[in-house]
Amino acid sequence: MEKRREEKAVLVIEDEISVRYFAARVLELEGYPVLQTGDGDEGLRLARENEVALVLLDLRLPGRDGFSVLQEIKSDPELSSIHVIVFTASAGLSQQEKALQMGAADYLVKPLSASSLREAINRILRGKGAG
Amino acid sequence: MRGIARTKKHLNDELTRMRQRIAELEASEVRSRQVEEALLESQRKYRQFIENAREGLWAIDAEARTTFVNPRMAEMLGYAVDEMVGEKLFSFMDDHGLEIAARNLAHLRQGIREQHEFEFLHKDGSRVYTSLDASPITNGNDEYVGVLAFVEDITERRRMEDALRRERDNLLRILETMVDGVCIINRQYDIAYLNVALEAEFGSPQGRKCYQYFHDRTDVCHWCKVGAIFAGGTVRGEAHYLKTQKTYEVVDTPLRSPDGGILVLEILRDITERKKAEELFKTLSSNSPVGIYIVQDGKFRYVNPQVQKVLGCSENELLAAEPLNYIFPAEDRDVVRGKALSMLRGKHGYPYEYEVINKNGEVRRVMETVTTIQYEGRRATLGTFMDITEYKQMEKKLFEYEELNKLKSNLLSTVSHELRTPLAIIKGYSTMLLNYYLKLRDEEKRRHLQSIDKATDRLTELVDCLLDMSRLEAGLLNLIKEPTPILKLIKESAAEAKLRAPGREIELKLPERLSKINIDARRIRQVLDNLIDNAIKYSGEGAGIVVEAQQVGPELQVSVADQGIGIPGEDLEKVFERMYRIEQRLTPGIGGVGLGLAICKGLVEAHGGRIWVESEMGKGSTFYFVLPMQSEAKVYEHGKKA
Repeated sequence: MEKRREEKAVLVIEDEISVRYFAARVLELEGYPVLQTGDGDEGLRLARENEVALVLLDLRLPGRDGFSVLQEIKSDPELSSIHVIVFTASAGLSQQEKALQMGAADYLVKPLSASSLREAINRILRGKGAG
Repeated sequence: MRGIARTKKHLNDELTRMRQRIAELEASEVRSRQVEEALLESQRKYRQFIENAREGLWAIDAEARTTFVNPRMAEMLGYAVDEMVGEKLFSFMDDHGLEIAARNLAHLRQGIREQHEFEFLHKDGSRVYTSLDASPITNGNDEYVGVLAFVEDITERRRMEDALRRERDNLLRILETMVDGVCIINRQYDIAYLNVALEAEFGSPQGRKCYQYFHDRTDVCHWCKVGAIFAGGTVRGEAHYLKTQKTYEVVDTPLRSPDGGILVLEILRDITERKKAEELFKTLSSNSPVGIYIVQDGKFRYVNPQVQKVLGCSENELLAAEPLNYIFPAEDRDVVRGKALSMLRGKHGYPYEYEVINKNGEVRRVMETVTTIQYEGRRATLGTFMDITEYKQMEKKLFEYEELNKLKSNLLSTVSHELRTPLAIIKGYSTMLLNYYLKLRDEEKRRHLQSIDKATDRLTELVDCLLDMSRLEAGLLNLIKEPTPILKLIKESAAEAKLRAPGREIELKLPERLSKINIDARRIRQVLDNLIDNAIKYSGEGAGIVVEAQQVGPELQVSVADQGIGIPGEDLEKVFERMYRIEQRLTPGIGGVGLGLAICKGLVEAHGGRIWVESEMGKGSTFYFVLPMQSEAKVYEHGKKA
């Protein structure tokens, strides 16, 4: 049983189940409380209703598009302090740039690696690298 | 008694003399009476002549006073005879006439006979034109005592002459102002007359012959029509004159000359501009890649060479024909006609397309516009069209090419996605094991490793599919055909499928024995696996799957039937195309690239066989494929030779 190290949760918004479960497991192993959904609007609702420190956001979502969710988080004063790490497909340099410009803290290129995910989360939330 | 007797004799002699004298006198009286009578008679005759003469007679005395006028003369000037008698000559003329009369009288006084025309004034003031013949009258002493004139009224004649002259002047003016050249040529090729227009064009005639004047020739032109005119009637033609470098329309008409001879009236019209326009039209029309035609009263009146080319007919064939007959198919005629009428009425602005069938049976597609024109004084339709058959074919090819491109990019994106999923699993779980090996439960570790294994299998499958598809398309697929026991192949495929999907029922309906068939076993096994896997994929847990095989004629027919969701009617052929998958909503959770059936088709057809599907929505589908059975390896199964 991993000890709960943090109060605030990490929210995963990713529609591909396998990727979402993977990210959630890594978070779990790192000791973060996890919230997860496959839908952008649902994700925003969860972000508002819970104490969320970080959002892992896939840019390509069905329904409400990833960029729109990012925009919403960063422009809403209630949510703007939440860090966002975006997942992008490999061929998407412009996407990565755009996301950073819109206020994303970092981006991760798929397929996800456990080490880079772990490193990014810890850096942003704890100010250090792999724990 | 001598004295009386003598006196008596004297008296008697005297008496006798007197009687003689009286008889003489009587006789002479008779004679003079005769003469008088004769004189009277001639006088009467003379008077009659004077009274009834057509000419007027006018006598004046030395003071020019009228002594005598005959009724005709008086009537000529509108007076009564006694109105004129006693009046001076000068009262019957104007001032100008006075001068002339005075002069003439002077001549007459000198004894000169005067014959001339003279203008008198009618009583009503109008002019009377006369021709008069006046002679002086002399007395016994040859002294001038007056004039006797015979006067002829030539007013009418004069009027006619004036009218004629006016007409002639008009005619001449017309000839002179005509733009066309007019000339009159005689039998000897002399130019009797030429108008201003002609002179301006060719210069002054200077007595030259027509062949010299028009053509600078020294002899009669061998093509000359002038000769023909004298023989026959009007000749009309066109000629290019080197002298002026212009083209004329020449019309020659025979003309009767006043003296009874025949002349040629020639009219030249400069048609150089018109000819140029005609030339230009012909050039454009003949070389135009656009078909141009005129239809009037439902028939072709003009067709340019392009029309002839497209329809494969000669001009003659077309000019008798009805345009609508060339429209193909016949059912479209009304539609096309409707579009044409619509355009003519101004309602339909854009060119319309239709197809025609030409003489060779070839179908050509054309794009046409029509407009109303006037042709030979009546309404007609001018049509222009372009043969767009090749263009349309290219358009179609382009469309197909674009569709193919779309398909390719679809394929690429789908493949890309399908590749990424197993890659994500492999990357994710391997890195997870690397980073959290000690923290993970044993069972989790095993699961992750299994996932990685499965993912690599999936990747391999995908790569094989792509390679097969590429090879099939490039025609590089190598079949290794061998006599194969097909029944065994089917049984093995079904058995392994059951391992993959335990619990699923796969029924086999196979004949006892079947001769070996010459096939690439691996590939046909691939087809069977694919069809059975599809059946499993697209039907529910409890649904049965039946695999059947039988010989139908020279072919082996194999079928895989499921009780799945079925395939919509319009898609029964499309399923075998690349990228075809039933919409996601009908098959949630079922992935796949959609190449499977396309590959099956490719493999079956590479063997010379066919593949198809029969289906009913909601009930299920049955996939069939047939393979030709070769008679060469008549080796039955179980190894027994025939």
